[in-house]
Amino acid sequence: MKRREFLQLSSAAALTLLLGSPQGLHAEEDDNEAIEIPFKEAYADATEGAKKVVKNAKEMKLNIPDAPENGLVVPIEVEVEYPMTPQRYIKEITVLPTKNKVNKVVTAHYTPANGKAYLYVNAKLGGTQEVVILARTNDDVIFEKRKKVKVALGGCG
Amino acid sequence: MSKKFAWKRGVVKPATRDYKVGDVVIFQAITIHPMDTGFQKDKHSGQIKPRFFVEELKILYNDKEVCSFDFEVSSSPNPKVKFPLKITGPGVVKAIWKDNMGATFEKSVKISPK
Repeated sequence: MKRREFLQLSSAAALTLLLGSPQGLHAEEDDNEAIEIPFKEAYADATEGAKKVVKNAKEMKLNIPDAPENGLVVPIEVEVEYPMTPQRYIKEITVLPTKNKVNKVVTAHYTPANGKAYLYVNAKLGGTQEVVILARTNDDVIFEKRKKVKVALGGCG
Repeated sequence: MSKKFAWKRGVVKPATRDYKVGDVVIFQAITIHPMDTGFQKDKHSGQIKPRFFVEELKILYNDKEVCSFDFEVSSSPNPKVKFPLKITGPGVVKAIWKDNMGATFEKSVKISPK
């Protein structure tokens, strides 16, 4: 009986401790805990408010190795053939992996002062998967291109 | 974190040396940063390493913002980007990195076209 009572008491105490300062705990967790971003969410976020999505766009040239040695550093190079004038330019280029825990690498915001739509970035890939590149023009048309990348040694521990 | 990270290395520079006014030059910006994802465990202590990564990179050309990059933890450690920039005259290109703990770091390079 004593043991039972002790257990009940201690569990109640632990609960009150836990519930006592929920705000403080949450603030700490937000800073330290990892946040997963599923691909659907990242894709929906990147294509929000788009008028049209052009799949497998001819304007885009990708330069990604088919089978990189190491998944930790995969070079991704994109060039979009599109004028960069104040009237027509590429506003954003987004790089999204599909099977990582966090399915977003980078979003680049460009202005006509860049003179060209080009981006090079290194990405971590956790395994063999497709990489999706999205380029958004200033009138909200999105060019999309995908490429499958074989990764033998994953980069996300 | 076992060792405290001190942010003191980074570079922004044009890829070629000879360029004229009106040329589009590829620039590169690299900084040394661990980019911890928050999923990995520390090998020595066995505890999960907190999320610690570069959130944003801003490029200013003569104090005017020309482009910015929003990073996520899927970028490689020591994030490196290459971007084009149209040279409009002599001046300074400045890169400002910002991480999720609020620390900032900046480097700049002088532009002198021929």
